[in-house]
Amino acid sequence: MRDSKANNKGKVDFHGIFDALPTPFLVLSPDCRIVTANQAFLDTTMRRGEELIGRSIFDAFPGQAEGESALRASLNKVVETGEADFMPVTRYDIPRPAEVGGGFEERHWRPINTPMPGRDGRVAFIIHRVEDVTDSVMERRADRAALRVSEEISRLIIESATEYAIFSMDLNGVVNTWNSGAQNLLGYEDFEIIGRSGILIFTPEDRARGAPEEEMRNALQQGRADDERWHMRRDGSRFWATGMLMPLRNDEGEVEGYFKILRDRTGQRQVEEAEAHRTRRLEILTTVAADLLGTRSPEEAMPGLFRAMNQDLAVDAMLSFNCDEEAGVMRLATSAGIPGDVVVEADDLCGKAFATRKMAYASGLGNSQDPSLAFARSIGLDAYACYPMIANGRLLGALSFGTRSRAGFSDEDLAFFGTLTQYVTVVRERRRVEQALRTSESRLRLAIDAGRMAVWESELATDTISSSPELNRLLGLPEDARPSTEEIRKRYYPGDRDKLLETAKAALESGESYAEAEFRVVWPDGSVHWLLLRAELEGDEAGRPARAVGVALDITERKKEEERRRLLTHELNHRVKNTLAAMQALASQSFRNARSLDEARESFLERLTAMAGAHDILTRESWEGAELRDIAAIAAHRFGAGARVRLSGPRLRLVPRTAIALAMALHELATNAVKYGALRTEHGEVALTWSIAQRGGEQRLLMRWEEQGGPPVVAPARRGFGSRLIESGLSRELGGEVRILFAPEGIVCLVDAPVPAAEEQPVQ
Amino acid sequence: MMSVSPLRVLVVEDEMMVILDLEDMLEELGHVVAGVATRIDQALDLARSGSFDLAVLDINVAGEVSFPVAILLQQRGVPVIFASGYDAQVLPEEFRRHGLLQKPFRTAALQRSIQEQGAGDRNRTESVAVSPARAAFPRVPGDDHEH
Repeated sequence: MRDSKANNKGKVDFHGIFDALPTPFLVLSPDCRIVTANQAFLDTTMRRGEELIGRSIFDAFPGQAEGESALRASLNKVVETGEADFMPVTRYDIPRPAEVGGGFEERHWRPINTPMPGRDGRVAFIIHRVEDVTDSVMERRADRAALRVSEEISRLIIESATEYAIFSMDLNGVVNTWNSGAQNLLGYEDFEIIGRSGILIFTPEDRARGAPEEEMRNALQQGRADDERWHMRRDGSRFWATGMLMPLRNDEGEVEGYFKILRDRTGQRQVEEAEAHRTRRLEILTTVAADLLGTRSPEEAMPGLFRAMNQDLAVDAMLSFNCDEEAGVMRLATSAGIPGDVVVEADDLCGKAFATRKMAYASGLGNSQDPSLAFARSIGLDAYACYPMIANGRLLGALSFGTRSRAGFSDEDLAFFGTLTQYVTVVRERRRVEQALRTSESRLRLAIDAGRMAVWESELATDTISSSPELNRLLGLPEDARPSTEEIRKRYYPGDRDKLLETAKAALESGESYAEAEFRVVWPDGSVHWLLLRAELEGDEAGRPARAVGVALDITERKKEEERRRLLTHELNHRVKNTLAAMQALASQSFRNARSLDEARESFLERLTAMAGAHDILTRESWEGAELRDIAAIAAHRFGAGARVRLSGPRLRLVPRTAIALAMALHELATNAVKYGALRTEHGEVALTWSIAQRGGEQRLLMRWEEQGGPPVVAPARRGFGSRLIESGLSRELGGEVRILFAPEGIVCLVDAPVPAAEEQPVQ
Repeated sequence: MMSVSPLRVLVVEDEMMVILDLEDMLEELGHVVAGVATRIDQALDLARSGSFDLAVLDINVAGEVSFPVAILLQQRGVPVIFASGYDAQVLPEEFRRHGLLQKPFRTAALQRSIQEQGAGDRNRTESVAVSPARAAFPRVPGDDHEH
């Protein structure tokens, strides 16, 4: 015992240490029998020592075949090589004793098998050390699970984004993922394209010019590459799309591929194209209006018009008829796109248009047996529309449009033909009126000229001009004045004397003894007058003007008349351009002030319709004016709310410009009432009343728009385009005051202005 | 580039929508609408009494031609731009050198026209003793906006 005490003192208690180690240890014999286990091992495995010692490790811990063979291999290796072996983490579930619930507990281990050589140098024992790494395995697993969830979410997002084609490619452009949006948009199933080149979606033209490579280069250099162009589907059809290509990086930040998002914009592009189409129509209108003005008869403008219509609207035939009122028949005035040997007759369709004074239209003629359409069919037309030309209640003729290449015309086409017919009608009517005017005016002019004539004589050698009472009158001098030559010359408009001398010289040089010139004189009151000079000239021996005897005429009125006529002949062009300018202003205002593109488009189209409504009324009245009530009625009926907008007031004639301005302002009020005001609710009402009052020797127009029964009114924080149009635009147009009051019970708009002129002043 | 010192602009135009839009366009270009006339008599009053650096005139204003306004402005050295649906041939010879903006026009065309008129006027006034165009394009050295 002493020895043993001495031993205890001198030697370390390895057995005690072995048991106290926190890491589980097992000591095995080379044939894998358990020699001993430390306390940590017993605790961890929830086993007792006597259950294990002396048994093979495989018997003591049976089961899990894969784990067993790996352990056997490791132990054999240790015995053979005499070197430690580090085993990978393995799962080995531990049976739970019945008293703690039984069953198995999931465990993960990292075993290390270390040889312990005996005296003979061979392996005597194997130290089997196991580290319980269950916790860290579980943690990693939770992380991975979380990652999988987020990946799954991304995948779902990408998959559900069916409006977008989203796919990825490797560095060589080979597709490796493909979402359902890509399937929809590009027509390839994922298995059809994964593994193939993404170049397939480029058009051949783009491939030829190296667009795919350039896009990848840009994506790498700039972090992303945007594009907007045509793409190809599997079936070869094309669509317009905007896209973005981005490099795809792995965890180390290296680029390992590309990521592409595409969005189909074909719809938007079609909208833009439709817009262009509309613009093109406006251009046709403008050109036609100018052509019509430049020609002597509307028929002369037909070939140019037909060319434009043929090119842009697939109109293949056009016919223009004149109404012979006396005979009560229509006669063909001109035609285009009809074979020369065809005898054109006004057929039943046109007859219907004449009788009803309304447009007549038939489509799908190729499949129709209708005998009344026989003529149109005989010249191969598939659709045919005839428009009567009516001005001031008189039927002037008709215009017809036909196509051979389309089954029918669209509503927009038909509306356009209607507008075009109106233009032609206006020009015809103007021409007729002007012709009548000219005849009566030329008679009048003779009388005017006769009273403003003076005979005069100029002695160029002595530089004197003889005066007469008539000449005094032409120069704005008192009748009894005796102006000196110098005083007469002073009356010449600067530079005009030289013009006179040149005319005289040129006449003499060419052997003419007669000269005629127009020149200006300035009266003492500063006003400028035009004189026409007709003179007999006598030259001296050198051919210089020596003496002139002639007649001077005051042609100021005629000059003014010419200017007026010059403006008149451009009148329609002017009106069309002004209308276009107003439409452009309407568009830019609508787009500038809107919150969204859709809103802008909607309010623009509505305003355009309001403007067109006013134009319709004015066209009906040959652009001479409109009744206030008719203008008010458009705004009242626009929203189908006619019965709830009560109109009352006397007859009042408005000039076209005022009519349009008022129509626009009322449209803004009505739109606001429908959206936010009285017409939004079921029982709300609007009263639009106007009267003419005498105040301070002046007639004033008092107008009142008053809403009732709508939701309580809240004054807007920001004054929109509508308010500006009404308060600033309309008040300026009327030269009066226009105010909007945001009364809680309903919006009130008040107009107090001079009664607008019934007609425009003539050009002075 | 052109300096964008704000010009005081007189607008003579009878079309309500066009005025509203023209106001926006001029504002966008950094200029100020200093007067609007929708009739010739108003325009003549303004041209006589107001101070402007530029005028944009419609030709047919409520049925009257705006040429008398142009003559008056010309005498006062104010550059004039005609904006009209008429084409250049209705302009009497003496106005042909003024800009004619064909309606409808866009902001860029207006800007170009303003620049052309500005340049043309400066050349013209260099050859005469009185230089009304100095008033037309005021350079204000003491005017510091940085206050």
